[in-house]
Amino acid sequence: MSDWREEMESHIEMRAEENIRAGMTPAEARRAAERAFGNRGRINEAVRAVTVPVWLEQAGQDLRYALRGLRKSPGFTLTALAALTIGIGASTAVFSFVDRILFRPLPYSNERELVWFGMTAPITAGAEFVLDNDFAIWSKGQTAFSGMTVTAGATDCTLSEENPAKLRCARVESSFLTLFGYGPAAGRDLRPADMEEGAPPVVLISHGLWQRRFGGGGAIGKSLDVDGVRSVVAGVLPENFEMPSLAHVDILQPMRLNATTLSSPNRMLLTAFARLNPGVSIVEARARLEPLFQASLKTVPGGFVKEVKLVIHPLRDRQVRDSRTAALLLLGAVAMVLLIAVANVANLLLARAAARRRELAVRAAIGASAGRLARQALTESAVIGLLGCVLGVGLAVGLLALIRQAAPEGIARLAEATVDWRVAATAAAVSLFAALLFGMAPALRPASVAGLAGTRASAPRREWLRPALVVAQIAMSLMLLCGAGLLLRSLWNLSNVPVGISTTGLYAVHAQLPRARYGAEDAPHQFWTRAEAALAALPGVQRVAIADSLPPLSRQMAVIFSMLKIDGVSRYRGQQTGGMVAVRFVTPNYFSMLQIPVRKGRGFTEADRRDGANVMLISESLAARLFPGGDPVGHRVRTSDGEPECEVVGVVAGVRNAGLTEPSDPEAYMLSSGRRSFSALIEADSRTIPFAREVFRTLDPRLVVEVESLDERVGKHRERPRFRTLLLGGFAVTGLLLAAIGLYGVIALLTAQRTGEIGIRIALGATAGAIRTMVLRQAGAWTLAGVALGLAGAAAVSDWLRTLLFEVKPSAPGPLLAAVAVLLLAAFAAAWLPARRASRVEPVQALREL
Amino acid sequence: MAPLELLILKSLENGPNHGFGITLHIQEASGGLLAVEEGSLYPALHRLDKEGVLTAEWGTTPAGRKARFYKLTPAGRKRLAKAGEQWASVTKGMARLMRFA
Repeated sequence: MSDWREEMESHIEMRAEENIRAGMTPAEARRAAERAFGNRGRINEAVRAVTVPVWLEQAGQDLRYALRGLRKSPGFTLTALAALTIGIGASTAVFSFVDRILFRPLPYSNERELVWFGMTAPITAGAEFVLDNDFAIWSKGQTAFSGMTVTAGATDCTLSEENPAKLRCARVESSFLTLFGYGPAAGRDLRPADMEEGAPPVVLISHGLWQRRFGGGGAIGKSLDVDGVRSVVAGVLPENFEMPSLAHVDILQPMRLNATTLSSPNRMLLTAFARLNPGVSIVEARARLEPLFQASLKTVPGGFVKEVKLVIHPLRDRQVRDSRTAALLLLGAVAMVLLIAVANVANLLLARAAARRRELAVRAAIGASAGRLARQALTESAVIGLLGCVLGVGLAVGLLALIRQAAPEGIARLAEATVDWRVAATAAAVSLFAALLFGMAPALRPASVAGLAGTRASAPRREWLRPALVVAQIAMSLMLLCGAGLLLRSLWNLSNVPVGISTTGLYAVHAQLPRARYGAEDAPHQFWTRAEAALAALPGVQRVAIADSLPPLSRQMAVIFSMLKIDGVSRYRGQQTGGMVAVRFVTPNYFSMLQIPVRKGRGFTEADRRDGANVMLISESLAARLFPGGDPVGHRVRTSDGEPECEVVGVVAGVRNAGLTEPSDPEAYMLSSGRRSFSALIEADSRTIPFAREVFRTLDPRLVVEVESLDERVGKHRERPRFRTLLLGGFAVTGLLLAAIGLYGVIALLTAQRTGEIGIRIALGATAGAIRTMVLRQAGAWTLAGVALGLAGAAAVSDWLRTLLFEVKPSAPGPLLAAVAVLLLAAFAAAWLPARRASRVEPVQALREL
Repeated sequence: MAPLELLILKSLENGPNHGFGITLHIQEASGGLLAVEEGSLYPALHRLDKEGVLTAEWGTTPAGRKARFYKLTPAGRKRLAKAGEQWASVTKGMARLMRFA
């Protein structure tokens, strides 16, 4: 372009020289030359029109104009940007991590063919299992699958070396990796021979363990001490290896599944997976397995048969079964936040268009074409949209980091969730589309010169779009509030559910004694007796108890209710199993430390323990079922054939023993005989804990010891609900804020447009109160419409929340009323400010503006 | 083709010239056609340049002043010849019309 300026200059100078030659003074000559050249600005434009494409030139102008306009109205700009940023940021962050749970591709070959199958019975609490001998028979006789495999599930194990480490180990059948399409990253896969009795112990190690323990170097053929057994590393698992149960594992060990184990009387409960034969549907697979299943049922004890079912789930469905509802809930919540945000931006743009009608009319009057004006408005929307996208993605990154921090352990794959660009792009596209759509408003309602005729008092047009958007926002934010209210109420219930124990000042020290070193019958007993004595001798320790498990869990051992024998006979007359009875092994102090009251008879005494008395305590619920109306004390109960018959000496209060939300099982207590997996319960102050660890180190330096306060232990059961509530609550508050801003914006603008009318009303004698009421009434009508819609919406979707709620009905009036109250309060606050401003309109000023 | 563009091409027929030179040539040849604004020549010049009828290059005038020189391209000569023919036929037609009138 500078080329053209120079050319212009050169022309004028040549003309000036010519003029000087004709006798003018230099100054005169220059002036005359300029005059002769003509209107520089117009010529300039004409030349530029030739060299620079018009649309580009105008786009540059529009952009500059838009930026100037946005700077000049910071209130509008900031609100719109905030709404977009929050909408895009929140939805992107949440979707990015929900996507990992719901939609990500599984790392297996042909994942659609993979199924998780087995039998279920009420006593396994929904877990599918296959017995080891059934697996052996089924894998020979079945025609539904191209392959099936089993695992015993992940359990704690110890890498007993100088620095003992706690790991997760899973025993698997030798075709486990092949079924999922994996091969070892190094070394070899497991072979059927590894499962034979007496085969040398081998392990496959995870990629992570390989990196940590061997620095990624040669590991094959090296040996590891797993739970006291020297095992040779046969192979390394691929980096993308993932257990189909989503459990974390460091080590895979071959399962002992051979002629010897199959002929033993002990059955293993296994988790089974299979690959469907090509073209075989789940329904058909079920039909083909039915005969084998029926044959297996014949070996099941009588009470079971009616309760056992065969189930086959697609692997993915089964994997996400537990997190699906929560994930979808969050997804719904952020979608609503995004919609509220978009509605907000739309409303702001409409309001801005309305406020600028006079300006646009002026510009139309001095020659701007309608298309040009529309393009300019669109540029402004696009600028806001794009800025919002950039900020939104930034917010998503931050939010994701925050969610990761706040999340409890064990949410599958959360740690690796990153901002998903597809999601960010979708959210951005939605909001940009909305911005452009509503940015069109000025174009749709072209500015006319008539708009300039301000002296004509024109009745305000009937608005429907903006109120509709406000009503929708209020409805959606009420739905969010209702959801958050219900979850909050549920969390409250969960926090106050009586566990039945006192946790203050109590610590649990858990240790798992490896079979290799503590296999001898008396060894665990001796270990725990010494540990108990050493702990009790520590200064600062008041009392010590030993137990195989602690509330709110149990289930180290559980027996079938119908198998209990009272005074030598089975009294149960029902057809089914009667459910499970938890059996806990404890020492006498257990009850006094946890403050579990003895309701009848007496508790355990040290004398019982010293004498090795076969005594039992039962929970109130077990007493009620075994001895309805009678006194249990003095009766003799045998839990299973392997256990001694015990005399019931007392009845104790029940405790939570199946988690906080599941119904508790009846419970029986026996005196501790010291088992390999035990916890010491100590009452001490926190400074004593390092010494407690030291006690265990002295007893056995290769043990992994975990110390936890009982408060923490119980608290862990509330982490997931708390996390869900936190997230949904956060979105509800965000949604409410956005909706309130939306309501405020529209009321403020409509009121501002009615300034003249309000001035007249005041001039005619309307009181400030009457004006306030008038404005508030309008806001109230919209809010109530929104509340009605929102409640209907909440009722429609809240049933869906049922599985996430604990002791709250989705229709519980308390949380819903609270949500409505919060919303009304916010709406009132949003409407109050414009109402007050309207009531203070100066009539003279307002009339002058007419 | 607009008369102004035809004039520009015509004035460049005998060799390259700068904008001011073209202005002088047109003013001489056509009297008052460019009397209003000398600058109004330039949009046309730049358009012709863009259409490939002309090329432009910086050079020096005999008086030693820097100026942008325009030169007809072969396409420009072709267009000039065609436009000249059209013009001739239009004027011929006009003359015939005037005679009958």
